Formats: sequence, C-alpha cells, structure tokens
Amino acid sequence: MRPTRSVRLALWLLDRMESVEKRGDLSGDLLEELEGGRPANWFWHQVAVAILIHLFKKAKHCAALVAFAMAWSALFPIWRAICVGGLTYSLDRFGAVAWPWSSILPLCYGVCPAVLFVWLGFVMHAVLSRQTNTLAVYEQCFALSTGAAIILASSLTVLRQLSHPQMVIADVTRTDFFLIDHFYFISVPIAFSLCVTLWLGGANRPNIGHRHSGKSSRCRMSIVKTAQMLAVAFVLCSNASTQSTATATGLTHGTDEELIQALRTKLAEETAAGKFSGVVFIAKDGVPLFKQAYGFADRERKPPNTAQTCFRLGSINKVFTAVATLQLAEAGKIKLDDPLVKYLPDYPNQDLAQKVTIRELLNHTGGTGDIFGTAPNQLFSEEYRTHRLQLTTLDDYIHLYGDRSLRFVPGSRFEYSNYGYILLGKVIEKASGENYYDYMRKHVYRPIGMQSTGEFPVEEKVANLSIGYTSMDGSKASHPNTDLLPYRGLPAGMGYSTAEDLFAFAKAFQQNKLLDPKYTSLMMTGSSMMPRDGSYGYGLMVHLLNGNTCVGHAGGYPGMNADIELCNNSKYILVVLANVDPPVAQRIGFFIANWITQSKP
Amino acid sequence: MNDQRFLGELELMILLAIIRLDNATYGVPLAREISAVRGRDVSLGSVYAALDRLEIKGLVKSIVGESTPERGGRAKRYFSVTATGVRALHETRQVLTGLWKSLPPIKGGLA
Repeated sequence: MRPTRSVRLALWLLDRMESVEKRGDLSGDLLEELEGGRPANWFWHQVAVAILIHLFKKAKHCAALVAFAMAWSALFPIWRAICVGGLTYSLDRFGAVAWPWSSILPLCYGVCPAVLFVWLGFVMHAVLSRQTNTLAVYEQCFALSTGAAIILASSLTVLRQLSHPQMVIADVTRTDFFLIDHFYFISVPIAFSLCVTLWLGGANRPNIGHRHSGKSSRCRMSIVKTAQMLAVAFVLCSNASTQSTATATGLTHGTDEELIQALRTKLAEETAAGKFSGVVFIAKDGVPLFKQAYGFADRERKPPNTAQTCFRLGSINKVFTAVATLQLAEAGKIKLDDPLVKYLPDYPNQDLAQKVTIRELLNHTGGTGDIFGTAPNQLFSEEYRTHRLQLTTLDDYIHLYGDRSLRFVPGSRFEYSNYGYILLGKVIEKASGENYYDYMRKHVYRPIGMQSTGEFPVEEKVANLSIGYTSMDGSKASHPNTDLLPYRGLPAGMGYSTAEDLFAFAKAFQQNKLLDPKYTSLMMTGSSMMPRDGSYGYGLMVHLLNGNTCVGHAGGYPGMNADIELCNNSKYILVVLANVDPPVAQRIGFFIANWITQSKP
Repeated sequence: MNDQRFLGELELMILLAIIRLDNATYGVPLAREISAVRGRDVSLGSVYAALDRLEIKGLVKSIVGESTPERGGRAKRYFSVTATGVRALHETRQVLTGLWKSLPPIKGGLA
C-alpha cells in the first residue's frame, strides 16, 4: 500500500533534515511503524516532535554561534584601540600623500584590524569549543576567507558611502559616531562575517572517527563556495546600487555653472527638510560666484538669513587669533619658539608655561587640553556648565583652568586644544599691550573692512544677529542655544561675523594684506599631522583633496556650524555659515570643495 | 574518551534496552522496548537524538543493514553498545546503587 502524499512529504522533510549517513533512519522507522498498523495520529505526533527536536537543536547551535559573534564584536573597540593606538601617529605621514595612496590610512585603521579581529574570533571560538581537531585545514581557511571577504566588502561599501557627498568621512571622527553608528557600520559586519565563518567552518556534526564520505564533502564544498560568492556579490551589489543612486541624484563635479545648479537644488532641499539654515558664499578669482542665504535668523520673528546676517563662527576665530599672533611675530614682538612663561610669567602652572612654546600652541601640539570637557560623548564638563557666565575675561579662564598640567610632552602629539588658543589670546595681550578684543578690532578687522565682525558679550545687542538652533543636548525639537553660549567670543572661537566679512578676510589674507608673504605661507603650511586626515598649519587646516589643496578652518558648536576654505591655490574662496547644529555646514563645504578640487585649472 | 559527563536519563535507558535486545537492534524495536517498560510512548526523534549523542561519546556504534519495502527502500541502522559503553554503564550503576543504598529513612518511604 503506497503511503499517502502527505505522508511522503513528511518523510521527505524528515530526510532532508538529516545529514547524508543518517538519512532514512528515522523516516524509515516511522514508515515501518505506520505500515505495521500504528494509527495515523501517532505518526503525525511523532513527525511533529521530530521536527521540533531538530529545529531546537539547530537553534541551540546557531544561538551559541550568534551569541558568541555578538559578544565578540562588542569587544571590537578595545581591539581597535590596541591595534590603532600605537600606529596612529606613525602612519599619519601618509595622510599628506596624494590620493589614492592616502586611502592606505582608512584601510590600515579600519579594515585590517577588523579582518584580524574576525580571524581572532574564529580561533577563539575553535579553542573554546574544542572542535579544531575535527576541521580540516582547507575547511578552516575556507571559512576564514569567507568571513574576511564579507567584512572587506562591507568595509569598502561603508567607506564608499562615507565619501558620498551626503556624508563626510570626517563624521567617523565624531565622538558620538562610535556609539550609534558603531552598531551599524562596525558591529554588524563583524558579527555577521564571524557568524558565517563559524557556521561554514564549524562542523555541523562533530565527527569522532569517520570523516564525511568523499562525494558528499565535495558537494558540500561546492555549495559553500557558491554561497560565498553569492554573499560577496550581494554586498558588492548593494554597494553598486548605492553608487548608482548617487550619480542619478546629482553630479559631484563639472563646470562652475553645474556646481551652482547642483548647489541650488541641494540647498533648497536641505532647507526645506529643515537640515540647513544659513549662508553659502563662493568666490572665484576674488569675484563672487554664488551668494545665497537660506532659512531664518530668528524662527519666531522670521527675519530671513542674508549675506549680512551675523553668524557665530565656532572655531574660525582661531584663524584670526593666529593672524594676530603672526602679525606680532612679524613685528618682532613675539618669537614663535619662546616658551609661554616669557609672556605669562605669573601663569599658575609653571611647568606647563616653561615647556610649551608659542608655535606649539598655534598648531595644537602643546598638550594644553580643552575647556569644554575632554570626556568622550560629553558635550560640556560640569566645570564649564557651572562657570559659563562667570568667565567674562581671558584671565577668568586662566584662573579656572590654569592649574591643569600638561596632557603630554609638548610637540609629541596633535590634540585639538581650545584652551591653547585662549592662552594665545593672552600672549597677544601681553605682547601688544592692548586688550585682545581691542587689538583684533584695530589691527585685523577694521583695516580690511570687516565691519560686522567681533566677539560681543551676550548681553550686548547686535544688529542682524542670528539665533542658533540646536538639539544636540538630546532634546527632541531644536531650540535656541542661548544657554549654552559662553559669555563672550574667545580667541578660540564663538565670535560673530558675516559671509561678506569672511570673504573680505580671505581675500585680504590671500593677497598678503594682513601678513607678509613669508608669514602667510607659514600659516598655510601643514606643520603637525591631524590624526584622521590632513595637517594643521598655524590656525589653518590643510587638506589634500583630489590632488588639490584646500586650506581653511571649520567651526562647530551646538546651534552653529561654519566652514571657510581656500581651494586650488586660493583660486576659490568658499564660506558656509549655518545657525543649526553641525555637521551640515561642513558637509556642504565638503561637497563644494570636492567639486572644485576636481575642476581643471 | 574522557568526556565524563553523567549519562542522561534517556541515554541510560537506551543503552540498557539495546543490551536487552541482544546488543543489536534498530530504531523500531528499541523504541517499543523502552515504551513498554516505561508504560508511555517515547518519541523516535528524541531516541535518535540521544543515539547521536551516544555515538559522539563513543558509547554506541552503528552499522547499516538491509533495506525493506515497508521502509520505502530506506535501510535500517543497527545499533550496539561498545565496550566503552558497557564500562560507562557499570560506572553509572555503581554510582546509582551506591547512592540508593545509603539512603536514610524518609517520610513516605523510598528505600
């Protein structure tokens, strides 16, 4: 009597669940019993239980793998710190090398540690589950190569995504990047590739004496090989599709007219989406090419932003401070290699004052630390929050932070130091005999016609002032950043200016009107390597992009973002100012710089 | 093989049942024997899972027998207990009888 179709289907399913040698044992027994007179209920009950037992066994095996892979991938930051920490400053030399060799950096910092991490995880798992003796060498190599291929493909996809004009690779350097996006960009590929490695490499059934018969293992190998190719192809396809959508939605280089077209569309979109609010100004050969404002300076009274609206500058004041310092050096009143103590003999921490030179303060290698709080993911330290409005003069800052010791031997490392520039402001005061704010107005702003630039205290009314809107403190809706602002703009940042004024500044600077040619080029030459990319001159960041150089500075703070760049040997000047959270202005700045640096001269 | 974990309940029963059936039996009579002594049905899936574990531990070995038309052409697999398996049985028996023997009197009676 031929069994019914459903019975045959059930038996086929049970057969498929077993491996080759065991196939037919259970199903044969059940069929024999059924034929021998057992009721149908009994048969179906047995089938159901058998399937459940099988699924449970598979889940246990997979769950252990998945749990291990996830737990192991959570350890990745530690591994990366071990791997990269020592390498960071020795490989930074390559950051200044022309593309494509500069891509050696993200490969070394990102991909290599990840691949090694997956291999290490595989070895760790093999040791912990004591299954190494059942795996042939070729099986292990195969599994490892699959895992490595997956993680390589996904890393390259991520890197391509990050250099998409919508995202900037500098986003990876933000301290909060590793919290949220770590899980997407790093943990998931690692966990996934490790899981696949373990699944392919770890035997499904540990064998004790006998190996798989030759035919079945060859079959399995070819299936696994196909799976490997499919996995890699899948990841690369998703990469390709994102690239094609990128080119479909917009060009990334072309003529100046095309840039303006692309910018108009892009900025209109971003403003409508609430992402951007500010001014974009581009000049070529000293002549304005594009000047457009978007959004509102005040979201309640709704005066629109214009090219004359005052925006907070973030760190761009450092450029002005550096110019002032070098003016005094040109006049012989400051020697760049003098220690700080020569200008601030009463500085609280004498050790720091005697070891740090003016030059080291200018290029952030002084080790003087920050004022906002250096703990990761902390916007502002408790110290800063409580004293924010009491810090009205530069002396107040020194009074509060002056006892702190050096964070490292001056000259040995680059660490962005806002406090270092506050000290430079004090040095300017001592060397010139004038108050910092007066000096800047008299010797830097007014001579070149920057009428709307300054570092006004918060209580002073400023015409055309925009309000910065932020949601960086975790609040759901963006709100004015007034209770996060320092009392007054500092030599390190947070003064005011307009796009017109910044253009005037850039033009005058490049035409050597502020400094003589020797000091102008000194400012623009990279003298210390920044950890992620580019180098830092004196108050200016130097980036190599598409074979051209861009010199400039960015500024970021809750509720404001700014970027000023001189590209292609200062042929192009671009200014982006925003009264919303970073990194929108820097992203737009990068989009423009990326475009411009690909233009033929 | 020194993977000395204790024999599971079903594993122990299976080893004993195989020996009772002249140390050469396949799935159907084995399952029937266990359910007869136990008084309730036992699922073949769990029997085979236990046999798998026993085979990994080296306490049981199997050979493929003849195929019959009642099984739709599938072959029978005959299981028998190895020498290691017999040793494991003796050890377990010693442990269990030792524990059973020195049981103090309990309310409700157990010994």
